[in-house]
Amino acid sequence: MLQLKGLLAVLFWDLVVEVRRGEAVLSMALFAVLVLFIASYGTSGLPGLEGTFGPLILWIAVLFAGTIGLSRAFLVEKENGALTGVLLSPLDSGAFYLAKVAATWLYVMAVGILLIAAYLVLFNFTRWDRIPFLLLAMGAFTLAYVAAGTIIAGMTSSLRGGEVVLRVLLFPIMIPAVINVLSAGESVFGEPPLEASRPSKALVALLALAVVYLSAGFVLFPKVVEE
Amino acid sequence: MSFFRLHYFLGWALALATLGLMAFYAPLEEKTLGKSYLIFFYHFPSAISCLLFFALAGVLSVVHLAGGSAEADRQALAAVEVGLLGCTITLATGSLWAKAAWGEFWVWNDPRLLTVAVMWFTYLGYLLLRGAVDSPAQRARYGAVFGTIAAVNIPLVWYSIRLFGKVSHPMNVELDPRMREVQWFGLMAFLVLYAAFWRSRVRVARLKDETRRLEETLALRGT
Repeated sequence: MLQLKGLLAVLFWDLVVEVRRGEAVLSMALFAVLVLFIASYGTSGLPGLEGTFGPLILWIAVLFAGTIGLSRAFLVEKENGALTGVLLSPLDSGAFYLAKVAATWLYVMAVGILLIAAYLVLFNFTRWDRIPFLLLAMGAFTLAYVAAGTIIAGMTSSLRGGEVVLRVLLFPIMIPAVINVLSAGESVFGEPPLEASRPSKALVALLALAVVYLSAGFVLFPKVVEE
Repeated sequence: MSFFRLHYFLGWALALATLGLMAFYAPLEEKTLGKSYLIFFYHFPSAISCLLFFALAGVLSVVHLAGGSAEADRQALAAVEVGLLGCTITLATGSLWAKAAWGEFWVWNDPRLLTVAVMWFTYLGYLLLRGAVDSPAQRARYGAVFGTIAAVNIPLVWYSIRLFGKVSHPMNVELDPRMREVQWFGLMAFLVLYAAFWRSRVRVARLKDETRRLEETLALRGT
């Protein structure tokens, strides 16, 4: 119960800081929409865009923008040695990791929803019945992404050139998730019709990856922040 | 001759013997792939060796995280280095073979090719991460954490064809009995040679740690 309270306190604190500063979500959203905007301009007029380049650009925008949120995940704690204070508190490091994952996932998911809205406009996507499934795929993909990214961001946040190292380490690890989200996207963007709520095999694989990364993070994170 | 040198000598001798068996014992042509199949005798042992060494690195990373053993960290680093060598040879020989067999150096519809390439990038990242950390204890800990996460790739590579479906890589190849004999001999030869490389890299890492310790001691004494 104490751990849950602590987890919620860290999550609440992160959200308060983000609401006041608005740095992570704003910079992520601006960057992601810009990627989508430029890609949409560059690919306009290409045949079959909706089923080919469109979804790829959407996931690339999420992937790239997400690293901004991840690299800022431990910014507050690194300032003035606040992380040491958190580690000295009764809060378990695993619970601290889960709180960080929850906060970053909320930011990335908010950007994801905004991106879907921008995608509807820029790529003229009007298959409304498939939006709930797209949101589910976005949720599962970003959860797997943030779960793996938070462990790596915990290591790279204190390194020289940490942001570059974060990307180089995270992107190869995320390729199985990208393959699965593209395959889940086939049922959203592809031609064959699909009932919006039907969970596909790829979606289950994404959730399984998220569970694996969350479990690994929960177990390994105490070693990441050990001093 | 020390046991270490004997190990090296044996490894190279067995690798050369594989070349001899390829030239004089195994049939020079396979019914569908022709002469290009000969590259298989280097491609297959490198692929299996790289998976085994990456798996070893994963196990040693867990050992380091559990007990903080510096030796386990050195052995894990050496296993990643040797695994990367095997992985690079696998990708290079695989690409050459793909050109001969499928007409292209690289295809995107083969899950095994893709997962091995991902594994290669992941373990290059492992070396990059270690290079970016200054403190030796932190370097070892981060390396072990990432080595444990990266090990998730190994079952993905092994089961990629079953998971994502067979596309270009075959599941089971029908080989002539003599081809099979050379295949297993080659695997044994490469494992012995790569084990010698691994021991050598562990030794180098141990000497580096020892040198650093001596330098620190000298710096403390102010000499």
